[in-house]
Amino acid sequence: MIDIQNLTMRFGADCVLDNLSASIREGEVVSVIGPSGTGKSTLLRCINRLENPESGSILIDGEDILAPHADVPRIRRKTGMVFQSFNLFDHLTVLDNLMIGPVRILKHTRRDAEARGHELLRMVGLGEKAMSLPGELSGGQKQRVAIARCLSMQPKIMLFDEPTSALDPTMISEVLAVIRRLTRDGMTMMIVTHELNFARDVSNRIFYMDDRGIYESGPPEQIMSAPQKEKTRRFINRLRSFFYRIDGPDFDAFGMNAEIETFCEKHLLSRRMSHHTLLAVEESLSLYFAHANYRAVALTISYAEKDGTLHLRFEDQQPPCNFLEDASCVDDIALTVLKGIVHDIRCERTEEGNRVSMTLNEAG
Amino acid sequence: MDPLAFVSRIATSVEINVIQEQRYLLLLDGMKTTALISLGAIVLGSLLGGVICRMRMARCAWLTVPAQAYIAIIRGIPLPVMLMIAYYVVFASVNIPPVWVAIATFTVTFAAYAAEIYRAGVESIDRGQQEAGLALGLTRIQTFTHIIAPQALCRILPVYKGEVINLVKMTSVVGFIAVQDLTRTADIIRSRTFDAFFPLVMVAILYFLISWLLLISLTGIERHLQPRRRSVRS
Repeated sequence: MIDIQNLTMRFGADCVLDNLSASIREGEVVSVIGPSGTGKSTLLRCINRLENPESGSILIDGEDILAPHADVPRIRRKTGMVFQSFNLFDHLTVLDNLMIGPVRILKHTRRDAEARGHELLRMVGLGEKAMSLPGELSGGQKQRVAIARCLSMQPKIMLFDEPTSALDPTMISEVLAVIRRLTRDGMTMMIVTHELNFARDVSNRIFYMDDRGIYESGPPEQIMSAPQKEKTRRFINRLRSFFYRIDGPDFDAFGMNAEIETFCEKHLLSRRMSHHTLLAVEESLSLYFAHANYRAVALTISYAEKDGTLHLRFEDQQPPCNFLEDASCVDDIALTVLKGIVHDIRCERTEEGNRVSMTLNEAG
Repeated sequence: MDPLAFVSRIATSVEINVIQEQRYLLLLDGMKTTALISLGAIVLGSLLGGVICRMRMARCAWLTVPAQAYIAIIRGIPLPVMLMIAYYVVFASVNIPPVWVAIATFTVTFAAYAAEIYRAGVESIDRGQQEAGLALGLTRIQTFTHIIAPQALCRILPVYKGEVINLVKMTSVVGFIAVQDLTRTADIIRSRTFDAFFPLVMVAILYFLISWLLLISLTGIERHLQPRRRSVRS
């Protein structure tokens, strides 16, 4: 149905998509997820050539829309696009919005187009609004009209560019319900979305985009529950992390603490939680530096917004050593304090050195 | 003042300034000339303005730079000066009626202003509208004529109206190249009757009436273009 080959897109010096290839089969629903600025919308906009990529080809039903002499308007008719900002034609009534395509492009008679327009409006639950102007509708209603407008052209594939991002939370479900209905009708769709639960429900396949391309793709169960790659995992779990490198016992403790506090504030952690974090870091480091072998160590704090847990990780590049159990250096008080505020303390041997990790959560 | 005396004084003034020596014919001629120059320049200038605007908004520098230069030059020269340059320099060796020179000059001027008004209107339309039109499968031209232009027109008209009235009033300087328009007529009558007040106030009122009529008709068009009206379709 859609075959994207070696697509490369640049905005000036910025490479947004680098040699991306993918294909979408008929009847498939593909959700595209990923952080902002990773080219999700750009990819979608390339498919109907609202953007002009630098190189590559996009075959829609075997026709390359990126070819220099392609009949772009004709190939575009096979795709329908729903925009984040609706983009209804503000000077036309809702019904006229649905008629302009069929009348001007498909050369249907006004009467046929009108009948079909009413039918589509009823399908999206807006039969009464035919004579309204877009300005009189709510965001959710506008987006449903926009979907109906796309359908008026009988596209073979629908492209959704963040269809619910500009909507109030209360209106998101009405739009998603219409999209769900289309999946039941077997429409081929590509949906760029931030609604991960929705993406999991409706799609056959999910593209996670990052690093200027499709970073990981697979069935929703895999991407959502057991992502194979690091960045996907971080995105799905909504991980936020903080990194600090400590060069030795004389490091700038005040500077580090200030940065950790800022990090905690930024992610709206409670005062208690941020206090515990600072304490855990301080006690761990005192245990570390009590041992003569420990020098440089890297601290990573990651916060999973999804379940509210905070993860501390200390990594070094030293010979094997477990500072928690090594009797020669155990500072009992520090260890007791530490054990009082964190759980799941684990020491592991990595390829280059040791890794100590621990978990904190709001419950304590 | 005695009202009766006032009325009789007006009647005398009308008699002297309008009726005597069939001066109303002179006035009518002046009005025709003003109307001819104005309408000619509005129609031709609006069209030429469209062309200039298209060039100005093109992506190719070969078109935008000349258009920009055109707009900058026209807007930077006083109209009477331009009128005289056109008449005494550009068309000096050609024998054409000064009215035509006036129409040409006003067309060229109006086009420069109209072009910028159009551009502001078109650029004020959200890019999403064009994208939606294209995504639907309309060609660029169809998108412009069915989506962009109707919306831009609604936003252009209020400013355009002002510019049209401005043009009508500016035609009063055509006397510089010996065209007998309304203003020049008033001046001629003044010099013959030695009455400054009446002829001048009279043409002032006439100018006001012309502008007012234009304003009303353009406002009518504007109202007709409002989406609400259009949606009620047969």
